[in-house]
Amino acid sequence: MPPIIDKKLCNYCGICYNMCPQDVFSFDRKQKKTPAVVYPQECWYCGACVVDCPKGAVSLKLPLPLHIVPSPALYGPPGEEENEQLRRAAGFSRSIERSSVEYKPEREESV
Amino acid sequence: MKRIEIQEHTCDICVVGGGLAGCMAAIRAAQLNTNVILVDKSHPERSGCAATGLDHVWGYFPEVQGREGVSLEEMVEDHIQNVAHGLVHKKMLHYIAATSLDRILDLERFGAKIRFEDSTLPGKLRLQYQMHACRNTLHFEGRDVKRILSKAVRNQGARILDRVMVMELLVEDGEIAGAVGYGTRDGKIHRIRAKAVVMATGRANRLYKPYPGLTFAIRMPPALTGDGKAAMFRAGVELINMEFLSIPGRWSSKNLIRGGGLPTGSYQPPGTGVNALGEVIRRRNHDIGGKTVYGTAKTFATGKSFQGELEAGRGPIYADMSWGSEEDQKYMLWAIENEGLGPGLLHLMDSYGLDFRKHKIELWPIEPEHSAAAAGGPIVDDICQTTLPGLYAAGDEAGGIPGSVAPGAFTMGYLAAESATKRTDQIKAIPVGKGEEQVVAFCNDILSRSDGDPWEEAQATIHNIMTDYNVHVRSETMANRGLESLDYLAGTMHLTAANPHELTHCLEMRNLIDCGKIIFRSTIERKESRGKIFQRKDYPEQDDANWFCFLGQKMEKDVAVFQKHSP
Repeated sequence: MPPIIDKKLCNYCGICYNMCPQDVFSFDRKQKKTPAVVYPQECWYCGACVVDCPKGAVSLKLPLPLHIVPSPALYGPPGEEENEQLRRAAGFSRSIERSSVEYKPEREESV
Repeated sequence: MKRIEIQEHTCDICVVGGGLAGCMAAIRAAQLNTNVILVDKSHPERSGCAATGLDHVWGYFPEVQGREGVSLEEMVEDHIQNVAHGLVHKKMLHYIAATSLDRILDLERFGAKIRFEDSTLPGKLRLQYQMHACRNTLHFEGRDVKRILSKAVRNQGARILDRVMVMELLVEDGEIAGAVGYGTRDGKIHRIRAKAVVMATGRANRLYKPYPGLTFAIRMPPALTGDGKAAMFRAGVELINMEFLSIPGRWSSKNLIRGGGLPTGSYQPPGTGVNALGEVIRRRNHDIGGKTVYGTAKTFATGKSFQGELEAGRGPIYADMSWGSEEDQKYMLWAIENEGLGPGLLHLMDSYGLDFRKHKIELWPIEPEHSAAAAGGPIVDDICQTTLPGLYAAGDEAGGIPGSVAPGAFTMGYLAAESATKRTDQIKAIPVGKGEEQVVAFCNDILSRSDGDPWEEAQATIHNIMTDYNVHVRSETMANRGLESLDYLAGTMHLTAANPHELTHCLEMRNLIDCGKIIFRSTIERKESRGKIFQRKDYPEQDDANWFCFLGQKMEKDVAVFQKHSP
């Protein structure tokens, strides 16, 4: 079941029901009841209900086909000197003036 | 037998679809008109492609690109050559590039945070590389961009008609007269009479099988089923580029976030695309940034492609972001929080320990996508007018502008609203129009049945037909078989629905079938192959002499007719 609502935290405001682009919830404003996930298979896993719930009562449970099997990273933390160079270069990419970056490619790439 | 109830609304301008384009259109229309209705199949607060966020939007920032030696004209030319491969509505593209910043400043006025203390660029903007050869994409805090825009829609006085799926257009004397929708919760037919209509329903996303194997787990919103394109086509509007298809739509981490964290995707600073041997296939952002010379094609390339690596036995493909400093890691998490579908990836990080510092993230060639790089939709003139007077199209709805994406939505929405306003000023009475008979009959037919075929069977059949005859192998004979198969499905399925939610899905099947048929017909007509977006087995060569054009298709007296247009 994709979105899970913690009934202890839910304040029956209906925001998740109002927001859901896929309309997976059912909710009756007149009754003080937690919205039910009536179309779980139609969830887009967008997380609107998670980010908009004012009580933090909604969490996302991703179905297994959407998991990413962990795979060890290649480079690991770079060395100190290299790190400093990379930091400056990435800083350029995070919007620092070009003139403040001394860039040298750190390794040749095979073509 | 239950009969469907019809509710009538009137307005000057009806905007169909409350995504980025529709919201911007409704805001501008309501600034200029007193009576505007924004119709949305979901709710504009979280509907469309930017539902749970949009962290980037490209544009021309004169104070940055100008100083880095790139003019507006050069940036547009780069897009024409390297993104659109020449086949693009050039004047509209120029308008998008030139006014994107104006709309970004609108967003800031509405409440979006676009300036950051860590930036040393003019205006404190965070500008990144995306798909152009210059640093022109704003990274901003856009998780709640749709909530911000919805609030602006309400503040400007536009009415929001949510949970209504527009099915047909109303036409009177060959001009637009409004739209007809179905209430996805109230089960009523909503007849919205209007002097002008702006269409912004986006792409037909549920035509193709989703990569993860779950019907609704696709990268772009599953609520989008080509409703606008199908309705326009049935109303006689000319559509172009419908034969084009991006296969795959994107290399992505199973649709857990819209961009893969790489240059040309969501372009995180330390993102590197690598194969299973650890060889770099797509370079880092700063590798590009430090030495980009304007005008070089394929900025991000190393001479290798992800697909080529798979076929050479060096797959799978990963995004490796491990080397980035703690500052870079923080920056990436910020970006993911603000980009659409980010919560899914954050969930894997929180609950299963996925960590960019320790893990590389596998990328898959995800499901094909219609529109986007393909840009199929109604042909529009320089003011977003379609071939039906009074009907305008904006954003992903409109045809002919590949890679227009978010700035295309913002700027064309704004322009379409201005164009629609010029029309409303000239029309005295709101027309009555007609065009709802078929859809009312379709709904009543379904409601009259107590048992029959569930919509899920039709959806699976459409997925199969499009995969077999449009994705795997494309030729005249295969496309003809696709047409036969969709006709068979339309004639044989007897859909049932227990409630308005299910009836909405039945109506979506009708639109997907119509979109599929348009695609197959144009596929047969275009007798060539063209880049990655159109490969035919029976015409494998590109034929610029005959086919460097937009191929238009429209209905005339129940027959599809074709026309070529120079870009």
